[in-house]
Amino acid sequence: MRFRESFVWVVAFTLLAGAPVFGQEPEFQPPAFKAPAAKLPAVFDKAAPENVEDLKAIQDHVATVVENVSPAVVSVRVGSSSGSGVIVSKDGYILTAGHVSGAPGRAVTIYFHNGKIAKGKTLGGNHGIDSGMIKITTLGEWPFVDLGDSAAMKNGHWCMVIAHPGGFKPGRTPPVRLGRLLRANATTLTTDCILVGGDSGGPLFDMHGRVVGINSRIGNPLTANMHVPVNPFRDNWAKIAKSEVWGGKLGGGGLGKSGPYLGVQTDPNGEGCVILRVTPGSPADLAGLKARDVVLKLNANAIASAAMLPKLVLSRKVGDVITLEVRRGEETLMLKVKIGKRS
Amino acid sequence: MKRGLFLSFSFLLLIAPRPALAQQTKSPEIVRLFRSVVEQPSQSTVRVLVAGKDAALGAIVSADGWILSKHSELKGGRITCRMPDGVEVDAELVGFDVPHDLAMLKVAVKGLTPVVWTDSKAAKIGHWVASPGTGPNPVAIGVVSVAARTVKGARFASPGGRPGGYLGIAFDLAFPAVRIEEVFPNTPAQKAGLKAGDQILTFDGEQVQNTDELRGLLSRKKPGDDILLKISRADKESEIKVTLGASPGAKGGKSRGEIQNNMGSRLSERRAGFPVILQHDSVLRPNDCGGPLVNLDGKVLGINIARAGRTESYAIPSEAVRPLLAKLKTRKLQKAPDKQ
Repeated sequence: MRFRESFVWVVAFTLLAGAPVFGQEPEFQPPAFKAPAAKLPAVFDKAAPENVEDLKAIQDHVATVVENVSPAVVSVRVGSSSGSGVIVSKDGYILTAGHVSGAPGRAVTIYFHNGKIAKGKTLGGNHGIDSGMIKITTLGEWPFVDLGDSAAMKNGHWCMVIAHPGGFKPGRTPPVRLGRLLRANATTLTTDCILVGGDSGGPLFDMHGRVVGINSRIGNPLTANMHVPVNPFRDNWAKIAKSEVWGGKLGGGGLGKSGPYLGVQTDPNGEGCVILRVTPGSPADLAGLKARDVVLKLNANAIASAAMLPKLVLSRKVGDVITLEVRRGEETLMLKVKIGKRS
Repeated sequence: MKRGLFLSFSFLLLIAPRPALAQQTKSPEIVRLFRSVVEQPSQSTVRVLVAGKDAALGAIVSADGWILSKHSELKGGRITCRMPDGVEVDAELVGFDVPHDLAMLKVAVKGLTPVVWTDSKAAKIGHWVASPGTGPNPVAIGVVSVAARTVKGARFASPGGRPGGYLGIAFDLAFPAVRIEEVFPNTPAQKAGLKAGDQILTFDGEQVQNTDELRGLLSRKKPGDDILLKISRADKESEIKVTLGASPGAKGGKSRGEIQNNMGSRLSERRAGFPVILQHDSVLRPNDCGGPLVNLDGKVLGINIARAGRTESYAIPSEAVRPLLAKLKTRKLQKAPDKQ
């Protein structure tokens, strides 16, 4: 009996080690919003430049911003696909597009244009608007940029994209594209900063060098370059950083569409699929799932990592009844869960 | 393959067509501001015609009738130049350089205004660039996207920048030569038995020193081609035959990258394989290549050489062009075999 107790503790301790913030709410705070340090050159107050002097003032300022922010722009490889990203905190949180990071818990290789390489893993995002996040797991302090206010971006405002079109190319700094904001709403910024494959997830900067958007998608015209505004990242920071994925697939009915829902948060750093939190009143809660449970199987599908659970749940329909095989301490439980609807 | 090797595809979603918004950054009003910038250099720019049709622009490099242009656009007929004064004259193709795709033309006109060169580093990343034409407006404007850089493996690249054959591996970019970091499932590389950690030594007998060279060699192949790789695994060398595939997402023989790069503008036929390039975000028409690229002072940073992709146009930087001028005038290169 004694032996058995100590064994349980070891298991619990292991779980704790995998999730250092167990039992208390981790601090998943977005980077603080900082007002710009300096006023922009007067030319940016004009509706449009009026002469060559104005063009000179623009280029001098842009060149300085490029130097300041480029080190924080990265190329990311997730499996066989490659996109871009931008580091927004010293400890290595990377904003990217939801269709780049995909499911949480996937391994990421991060390429800096100076040749440095780091490892990371994917976190969550609102896939309805194409927001995603990656965390660098290699220890270190990373170059980062500040977040701007995407709601302050007005049509005609100057902006620029610095990212990795076509994927990472050794010896090429991330190409700069200068543009203006053409259209904005709560979920999409459209600019004439021209994008192509590989740019996805890379930053759109305002003239203060702050991230105001994340590259997402293009249409045929050279003016159809769409970016996810940065404010929804800031507003949902904790959810995204805790690897929650919601909003379904981009284009699959749009924002607010309710998808299949379980109501758990999993530990992206855990061994296997460890439940961190169960949302009270959620389908998982009603079925009796508890924090620290380890999900082993969904029906016949073995679950090797936290990333697999949301993937499998999202592949089900609202109302489906699934069986979760769960390890709780020494016990193995079979729990029936009726998949709910995200509200 | 240019993009598709270590990225089996590059991320970007495509959206359904909708009415186009007007350009603001490159609007006619902004382009007009560059009139004073190109006023002088447009006096050093000519229109090059082949069989009477617009083929390229050209840059006058000396007062006695020497003109640089883009070589690969000048095939298929009599070459003439419409000079800054509007007069059309016959031009002789005297020399060319295939890697840089530059051609030297000679016209029997004297007293011309040659371009004023400056080092390409005179323009920082993010600085404005304009491409003078033969009229008062530049034919394109943009900013420097990437400073002048040498392109490793350029001599192997397919001239059309096509992706070629697909292997399905990621390179270990921390390794100084060519080593596989990951072999993707269900790819030609996996089927052939390549493994993570394998070092690739030769490709069809050709030594590969870096990943760019391997990409270049792949770009000259096509799906279905067999290649022979000599690899080193655990210090033992062996040869592996790989039957190349098509990159995921390829449609109608075009990779996803190619499809996206062709969205919104027309690309130059020869758009890759240049040993040194300055990259800018101007939207050049393919037949507006061959002329000068200038900064806000009207000084020539380089010669526009390709509309290379949806986001990029290339110029050969001035510091790479100027040492070639004397050789290009000697007719020596004309007999050189037309290959890279």
